[in-house]
Amino acid sequence: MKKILIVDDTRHILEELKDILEMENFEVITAINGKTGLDSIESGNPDLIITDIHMPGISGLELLKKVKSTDATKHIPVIVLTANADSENMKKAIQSNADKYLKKPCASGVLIEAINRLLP
Amino acid sequence: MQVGQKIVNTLNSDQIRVLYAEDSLDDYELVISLIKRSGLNVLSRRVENPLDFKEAIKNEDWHLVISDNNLPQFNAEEALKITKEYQPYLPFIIVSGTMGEEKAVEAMRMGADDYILKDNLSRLIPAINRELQDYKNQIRMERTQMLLAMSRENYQLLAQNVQDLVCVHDHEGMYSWVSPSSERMLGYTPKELSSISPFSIIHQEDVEEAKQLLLKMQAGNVKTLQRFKYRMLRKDGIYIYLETLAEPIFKDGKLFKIVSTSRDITEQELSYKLLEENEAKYESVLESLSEGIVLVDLEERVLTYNQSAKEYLMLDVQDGRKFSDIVLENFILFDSNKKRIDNHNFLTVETLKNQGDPVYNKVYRFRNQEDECWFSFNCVPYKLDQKQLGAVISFKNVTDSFETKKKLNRLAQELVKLIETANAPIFGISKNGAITEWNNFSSDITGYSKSEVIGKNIYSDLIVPEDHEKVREFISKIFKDNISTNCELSLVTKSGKVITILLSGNIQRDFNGNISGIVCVCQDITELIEYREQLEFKVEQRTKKLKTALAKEKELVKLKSKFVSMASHEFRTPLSSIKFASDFIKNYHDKVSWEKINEKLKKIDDQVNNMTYLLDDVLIMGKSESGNINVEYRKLDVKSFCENLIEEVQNTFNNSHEIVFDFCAVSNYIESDVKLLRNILTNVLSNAIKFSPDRDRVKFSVLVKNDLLILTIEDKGIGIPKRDHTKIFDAFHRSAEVTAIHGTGLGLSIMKKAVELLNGTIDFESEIDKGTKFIIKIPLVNEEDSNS
Repeated sequence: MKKILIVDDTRHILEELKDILEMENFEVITAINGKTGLDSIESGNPDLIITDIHMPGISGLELLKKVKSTDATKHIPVIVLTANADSENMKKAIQSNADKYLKKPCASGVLIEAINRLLP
Repeated sequence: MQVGQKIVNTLNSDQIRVLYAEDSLDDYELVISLIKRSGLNVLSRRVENPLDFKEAIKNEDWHLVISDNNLPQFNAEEALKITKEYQPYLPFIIVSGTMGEEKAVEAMRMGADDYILKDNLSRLIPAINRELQDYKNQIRMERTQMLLAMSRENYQLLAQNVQDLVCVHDHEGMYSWVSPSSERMLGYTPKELSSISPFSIIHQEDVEEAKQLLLKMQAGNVKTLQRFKYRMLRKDGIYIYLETLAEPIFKDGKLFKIVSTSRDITEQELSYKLLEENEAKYESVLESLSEGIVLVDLEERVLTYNQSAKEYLMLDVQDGRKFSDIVLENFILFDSNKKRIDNHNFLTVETLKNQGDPVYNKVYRFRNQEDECWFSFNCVPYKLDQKQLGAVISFKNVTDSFETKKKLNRLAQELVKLIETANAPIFGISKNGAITEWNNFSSDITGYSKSEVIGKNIYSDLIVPEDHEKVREFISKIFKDNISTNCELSLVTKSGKVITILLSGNIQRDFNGNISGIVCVCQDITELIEYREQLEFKVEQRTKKLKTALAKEKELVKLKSKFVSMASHEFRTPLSSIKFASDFIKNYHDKVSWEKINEKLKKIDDQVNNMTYLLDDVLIMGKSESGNINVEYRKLDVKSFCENLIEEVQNTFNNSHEIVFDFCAVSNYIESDVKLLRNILTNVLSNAIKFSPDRDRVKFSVLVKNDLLILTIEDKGIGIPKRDHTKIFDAFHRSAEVTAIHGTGLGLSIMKKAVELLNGTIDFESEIDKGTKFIIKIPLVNEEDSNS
């Protein structure tokens, strides 16, 4: 069973996504901010990461950069899921090697399809 | 001559003095006794050397010399020589023992009168008598000749030495004798004149008179001394004036000679002519003068006057009256001080009295029945050899200039008055800064009176020291460039107040056109300056405000765009939750329990509510930002309002916390806006509860004191990190620590707006994990104020 880490500072989002992804047979771990997100990557060793961008403390972009610049983790696909819809953020995310960039609100089918495509 | 006179006198006596040169006493006595016996009274002396002989001849009177032919020491020849040398006519008889014929002839040839041998003395006495007689005659003749010579000498001397020309003319008038002075006087020598006719050198205008005179003399009609003047041509071609006295001399009833003496009177004549000419000149000058000229003597009697004087003062003086009498008879006189003038204070009298101090430009007003005019008088004494003879009075009608002067004076006075009363400070300064003029207004604004400042230096107290250089430049610029210019400077008034004036300097010139100073017209621009400063200050302030407003506006635009961006983000998050929840129901409704579906539906409901709150807050923010919230003051029972609110909030949070309420006020009623107050309190109380999740009580106190409503809300919650203290009121700012706590991020922003609308302030104290305390102070308004 593939393990997916969700990082978002909004509890409702974490809960909703967890429910949906578990229904799709993924093991789901969540983190409420960037810092706990990084901790979870190290401890939980996820197969895929879904992260928000705008978060207090370590932002999603920072987390993304960290993941993609660390040899041990750079293979992990990262999906950026953000309400921050401006193109600047998207550009930054792509430059930081985000594997997918999705905008909130996002249909769960789109997300699941992206996850499935990114996971081997 | 004296000697001759003496001899003649002695000869007339009977005594004959005989000098005898003889070495033999016997011979001497023999001859002398012989002479005595003949009856002659003889006084004799014998000498036997030439020295004694010479002394005797030289110093004594003798009538006869007798000499021996041969003496041991000299001889008759020598004696004769000596005698001829000193007394050429003295009879000399040689009496000798022997003598050759030859020698005798020689002696006679040399001048001896006779030669008698000693052995033939009978011839001696007759010879002596003859010689003495001859001698007497000789002496007489000599005397006559001498007298004649003397008289001729005198006459010559006289004629030659007189300055005048002395002439003797023949009966035709021709020169027969002319004194040597002719050469000096006429340039002709007497000899030259003897061949010149006087009529040819007399001036042609005068020659006829001379000829007529001669004719009359020839006719015997004129027999006495005649005096006449004429001009005569000198040899050098110049005419000279001569005055001649001519006397005809008649012989046998006919004109024989004319004797004339002439004197050169050219100088006198020329100076007289010059005098006449000058007199004529002066007279014409005098007559042509427009000024009246009157000459008076020491008694002030009019001696002469010119035509102008006659016309001006109606002078017609025949009787030698006094000048002042004549004038005062025709006119009434006043001096420039309007003082009446009479005979005692008229200027001529004064001048004559003061022993010759001249009076100039004395102006009198003349009045008679017809008109009135002004005369300016000068009176100058005239003197000859330091002696005052009288006075010259000159005068002219100055009515026109006087009237002009009066008009000018009036104008000047008006000007002075204008300056004095001008509604602006006007003052004059000299080149070195001394104050020369000071009008009333200058006194008014500075507090210094005219007498206090005139003559004082403008730099001394009046001008503030820092403006001295400016004023010096201003003054020197006017003097140097001859232009008017302006200067702004500050003056210190007598009371110490500093006023600012705008100085406009103009060149002041004296009558000769020289720059004498500067007239400064000033404007008190103190108020203007103050106004200007105020204006500048206002403009500055406005600009500042404008800049602030602009910056605020920019900030606002930025904020708005940020707000929109943030707001959309804030909406996307709940929307996202709703989408996921609805997707879950849609996709998995057949795989999950009803409970799970209900849970999802409730979450959807919550998020919709959440979005509604958010929307409300955003709208409030929008309203407040655009200033569209009206404050509505209403009387309210603040205590019960708070109690109701507390219950409401507690209910919202399912009574998770107790709100400990403390109320302290004289009256429960205040004037305030209920909506705004509700908003503030709901927000701050909700926050207190939300941010103290591990606690169960929140303190809330209300204090009404000194027209202030003080609301204090205190929790023992998580606190706000220091780094966020400055940002907590920013829209959508949420501290990193409060992610788990529900909020729109607009609560504190909205609350702050509300407090500001009520003119209140918010302070807070907060520490991590210790809690937060908000103090909100809202000034209370009176009923009257609220109504207005």
